[in-house]
Amino acid sequence: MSGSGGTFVDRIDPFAKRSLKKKPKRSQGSSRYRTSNDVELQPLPLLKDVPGAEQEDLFLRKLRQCCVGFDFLDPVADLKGKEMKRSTLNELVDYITAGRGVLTEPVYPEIIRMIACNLFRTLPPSDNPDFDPEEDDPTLEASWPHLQLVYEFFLRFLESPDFQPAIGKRVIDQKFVLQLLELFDSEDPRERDFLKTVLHRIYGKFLGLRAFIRKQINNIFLRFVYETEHFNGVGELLEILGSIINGFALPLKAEHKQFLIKVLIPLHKVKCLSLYHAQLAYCVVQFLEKDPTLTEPVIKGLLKFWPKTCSQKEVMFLGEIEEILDVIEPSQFVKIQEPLFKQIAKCVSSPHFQVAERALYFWNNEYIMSLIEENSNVILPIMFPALYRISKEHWNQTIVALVYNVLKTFMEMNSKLFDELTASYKAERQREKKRERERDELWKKLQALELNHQQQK
Amino acid sequence: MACVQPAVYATADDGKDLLTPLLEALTLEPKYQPSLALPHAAKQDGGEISMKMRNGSAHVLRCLKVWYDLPPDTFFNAVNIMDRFLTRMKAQPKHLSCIAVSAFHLSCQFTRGYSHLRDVPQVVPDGRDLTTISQCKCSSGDVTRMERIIMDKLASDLRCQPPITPLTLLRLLYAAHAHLAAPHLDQALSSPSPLSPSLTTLIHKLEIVECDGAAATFRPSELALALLTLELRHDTANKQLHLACIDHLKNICKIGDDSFSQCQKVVAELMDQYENQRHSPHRQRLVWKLSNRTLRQLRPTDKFTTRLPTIVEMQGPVHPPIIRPRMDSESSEMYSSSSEEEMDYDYDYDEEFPPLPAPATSLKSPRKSPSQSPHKKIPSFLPYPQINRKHNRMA
Repeated sequence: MSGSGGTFVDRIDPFAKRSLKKKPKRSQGSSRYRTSNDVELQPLPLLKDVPGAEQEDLFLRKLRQCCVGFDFLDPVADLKGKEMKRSTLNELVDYITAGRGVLTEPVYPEIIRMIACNLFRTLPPSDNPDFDPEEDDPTLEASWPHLQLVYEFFLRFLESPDFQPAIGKRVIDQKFVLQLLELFDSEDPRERDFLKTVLHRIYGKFLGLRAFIRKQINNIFLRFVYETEHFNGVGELLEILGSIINGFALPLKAEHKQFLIKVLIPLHKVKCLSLYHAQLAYCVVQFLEKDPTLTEPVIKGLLKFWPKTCSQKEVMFLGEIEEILDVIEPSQFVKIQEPLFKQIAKCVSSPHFQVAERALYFWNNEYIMSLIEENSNVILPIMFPALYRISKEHWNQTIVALVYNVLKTFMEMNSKLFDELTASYKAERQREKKRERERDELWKKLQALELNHQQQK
Repeated sequence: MACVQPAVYATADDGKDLLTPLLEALTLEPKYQPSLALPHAAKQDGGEISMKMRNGSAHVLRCLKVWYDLPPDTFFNAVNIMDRFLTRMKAQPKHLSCIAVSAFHLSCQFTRGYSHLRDVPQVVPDGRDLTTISQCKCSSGDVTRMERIIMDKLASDLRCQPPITPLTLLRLLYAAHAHLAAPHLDQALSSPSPLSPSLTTLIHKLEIVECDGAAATFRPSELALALLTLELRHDTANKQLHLACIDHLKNICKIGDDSFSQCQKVVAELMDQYENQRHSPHRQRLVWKLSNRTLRQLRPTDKFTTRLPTIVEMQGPVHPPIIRPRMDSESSEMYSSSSEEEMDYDYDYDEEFPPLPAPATSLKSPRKSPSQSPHKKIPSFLPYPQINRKHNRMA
């Protein structure tokens, strides 16, 4: 407890993650800086004030004007220019939203150029080197007032009824997409949200880019899992993949199955799983709904990567297992029941009460119960020793109550097997006790022998 | 095989007198015989305890016996107390769980003191612990009060004399049979242990019999003997011997033929269910209490929402109905290739999904959505993907 007026040492709380320095304001970062020579933006007339024939030209000029960057880290620099660009961008968004026939062929490359100028930048290194995504506030992009409008514009562009992928594909090429993907590492969640929608639309509209996008996402994930364990956009990319997986045609291509086993399953390994677990679990379950024969490799993969030291992750894994079991087919269940329930028996015995609790709660799932009932002769012998032991030994009363429920359920399910297991378990325990007693006797005898020997000397 | 006459009943090898305790038990038997007159199923108005409810309670007691690692006597005594109480008193269904738990607690307290169980380590469960774990929805104070009522109503004094239950008779008859048959068992023909029933297994089976109210109408000696007969049937090699022994014991117990065959039928049916159980015949509605922390996040996708519509994979000569392909027929060969990147056509993808409003982070007022072309078809699928929960969770 820290008292007021104590020394600094007294006030240090070893359990707080930060020191007692005042928490800094929400940090902002950017890698866009202005050159010293200010470029004066020439005011242009409004698009609506100009006759139709001249609109395309004016449009192009405005687009080019918006390619000029501004320094937002200095809040007072070039306010007039910033405001002009902002209102121009606003106007452009309205223009392509409302207008018809504004997306003429010459306009496409200029649009992409403007977007690339604004968006594609090297992301600044994180202000906070120990950035913990769960605890800390992210560093936001300082130039968001402009950036947001550029993203809006991009989205309206792609979604416009006049948008023609045939023309678009000339300017939205692999190089462009690659740079777009790199932006997913932005710390600003608003930017990632836009990028997610943008990439989703691009994937939908450009058939020719789909394989490339999938491959690049694979690379990002693999690098994330096996090299850096750092990438901010995993959740967003997984969300896009969810909508893609949902639309897979049957039978599933080998490439997709490979992706599931070699990329999605290893993604469970990473320490910061909690940031994207919802999206990841969704993807996995979607796969299994598409092709139930993938159940066995998925479960085996999860068991292989089962967390051994992180209890929070274990609870997450158990939640995912339950989701998978929700949709599993009985024939697939039979294939994985043994290794799975061996792991569940271990979880039930875990001294961490949340892990045990979560595992025991499986028995409250009607469908899982019916599967267990069908295969009680396999599952009951696996679970029984753990359950019986915990009923006597566990420290947590909630757990003990849940174990009672599970034992009662088993007893109702298959009384005969239950009785046999009880009898054999008891017999085994008695044999063990007997062995222990004999061992004790032996040691006592040895000790007595030694004493005798010493006395004789 | 020659018909073997069992030897005249004598004392067992270890000098223990087997006949006297048996006769004693048979004399006391009627004192502890319940006479349950419960309707089979619950009546509409729910005012009366049904046989099904009583059976359910018996199963709960059986589970408690396993839970606290108590000898089977505790269970049989408890059920006996409960049955005799229900014979005497017409109780309401809402009190049944309290009655059962109180009977069990009483039984635990007394069974500890019985001479033949002095060496068996037993723990008398704490009243509060018992009421919590059994989910009986009554307090330990209620249990104490009910115990007093039960003790008042039941004529017998449970303190020194254990009630005569099917278990008592089973033990005695089992020992008697073993003694009678042992010298004549054809060891060569009959294989060892697997065929001769172990007492433990028999006791488990008897517990199951005890859990069914239909058995309560028979005498404990009838039940025990019927079960023993059923089990001995497996040892076909010594069939005659066993039949002779059973007959002899039947006479000692003065069991009538009709009653015995009735009893055998009931026991056989129950054992048939036990051996071939495929699913739970009765399920207690249990309360599953979880900590708040766990309840907050049960399934990872509980809090997952997405506004990204499904993107259909292009494949094969079958076009999804929403796409209007604008190429001619020779394109169908290109479809045979599996990769999407081979395809290079002018698809109109605006129909794949309706344009969505801007993300919530927009600082400005929502923009107008692009105008819908009159000949645009709205896709027929749900734009927002959801996980199919085939099966409902229990509440």
